[in-house]
Amino acid sequence: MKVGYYPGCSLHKVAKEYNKSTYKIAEKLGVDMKEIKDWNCCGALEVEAVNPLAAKGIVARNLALAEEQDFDLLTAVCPACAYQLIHVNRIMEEDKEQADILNSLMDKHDYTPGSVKPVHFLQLLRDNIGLNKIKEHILPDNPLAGRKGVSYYGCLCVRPGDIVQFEDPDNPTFMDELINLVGAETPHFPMKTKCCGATQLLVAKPTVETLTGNIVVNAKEVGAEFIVVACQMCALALDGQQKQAIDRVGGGDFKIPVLYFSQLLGIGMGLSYKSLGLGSNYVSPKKLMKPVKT
Amino acid sequence: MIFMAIQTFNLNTADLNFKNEVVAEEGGEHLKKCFQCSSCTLTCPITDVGLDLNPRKVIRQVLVGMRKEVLESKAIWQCVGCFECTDRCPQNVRFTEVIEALRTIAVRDTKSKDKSRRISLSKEGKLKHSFDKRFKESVWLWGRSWEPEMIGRYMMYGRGFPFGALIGFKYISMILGMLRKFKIEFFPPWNSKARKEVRGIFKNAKKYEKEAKA
Repeated sequence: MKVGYYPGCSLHKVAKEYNKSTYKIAEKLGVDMKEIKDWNCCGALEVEAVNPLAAKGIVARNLALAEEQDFDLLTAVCPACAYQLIHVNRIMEEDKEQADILNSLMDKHDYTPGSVKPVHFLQLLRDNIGLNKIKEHILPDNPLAGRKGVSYYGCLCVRPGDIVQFEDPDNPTFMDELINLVGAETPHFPMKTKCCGATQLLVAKPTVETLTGNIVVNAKEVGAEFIVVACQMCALALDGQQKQAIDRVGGGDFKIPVLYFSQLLGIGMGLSYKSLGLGSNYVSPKKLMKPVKT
Repeated sequence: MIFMAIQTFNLNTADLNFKNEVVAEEGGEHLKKCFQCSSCTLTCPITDVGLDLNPRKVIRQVLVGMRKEVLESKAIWQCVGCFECTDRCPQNVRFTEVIEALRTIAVRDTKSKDKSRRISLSKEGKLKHSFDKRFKESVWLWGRSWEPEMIGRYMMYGRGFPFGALIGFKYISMILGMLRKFKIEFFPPWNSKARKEVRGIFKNAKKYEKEAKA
């Protein structure tokens, strides 16, 4: 199985630790994953707001590139990119007319709808690798064992449910299973799928800080020692803006490290601090790296 | 005791064709299925933190025909696009897409030749639209978005040229934090093939839309 990797605009620099750790765990799990060549932006939700047709066209180009480079699966770790790829693939599969229009926009490429299956990396872990295989690589005495962690899905990872078709949009559980796999407990976390609003960070900062603050404070209330996310924008809000967000809702003085799910698995597999890029997280996860005192 | 201000609206000034206009727009197709159950409002994170947006109210306003009130409101620009209402809706109205349709109409009507239809965007609307436009321009320029360039231009133009850039001081801690972790891309992404083809797609899309209109 050849897996194409679509990084998206933020993964090379803004969320370089996410990129790095994803490659590391893919290598460890034996996934043959390569970045697709000459990829372009997926347009997120912004280009779609200004120019909906061209926005779909540039996504179709990425799908066409994946088809030309012989990939069966196209995976993205950014939920917005994954959503766009899945959405446009679905439109082209279901609506032949629309597919012809989108193909006519591209001068050099032609995409046969449905020849590539775009998925989020979490879905690839669940469907193509499986928990049992991941479990073989997890060390039982990893530093996270015995701690408490909550998973935070955010919005586009599981929603809209009828398009993404990954997990139950009300109560997704796969990331909880991953946390349990490394030996940590998962307390009930009501804000699991509430939006952090990070895409509006530059437009409406106070709103985003309130939304984020509620999530972080709630995580603290349920006793979490770390938050696991699957989106670089969530990390930018929950991790990068954590102090301002907590101050905004008056939550007190505390810090919670925010890990990507790939970093969580990496720590569980005993990969080094540096190779997972944990030094690049805004809130230092250093205190998580010592074994729990019993 | 709670006192609520009751807003009055003269139905003689209602634009009865407004709902059809929204239905004709991409994303607004399912608007008329709404039976006002309020599931969207109860689940909306923006309503939750006490801002103006109230999805049920917006739909009702559209159906009644309060054209100017809806298009000039802050509310339609406060949506963060989290799709929670879309997921919960028992009638599959897809409110997130309805909002997109309303925004498209609002932006289009700022330049409308018909004076009675012309509206002016709210401050929030101008900002959000400016951000979307800078993002699109960045994709056109480089084939993907290059954050420092996009954000820099947004700061300059989005809040009024040239002193709007001063608003950047609000973000100084965020930018310093990113700098400290080496998370800012100093050099533009250079992939001439991707850039050229993306520009081609934008050009063809424009051509196609023009032909479809004619």
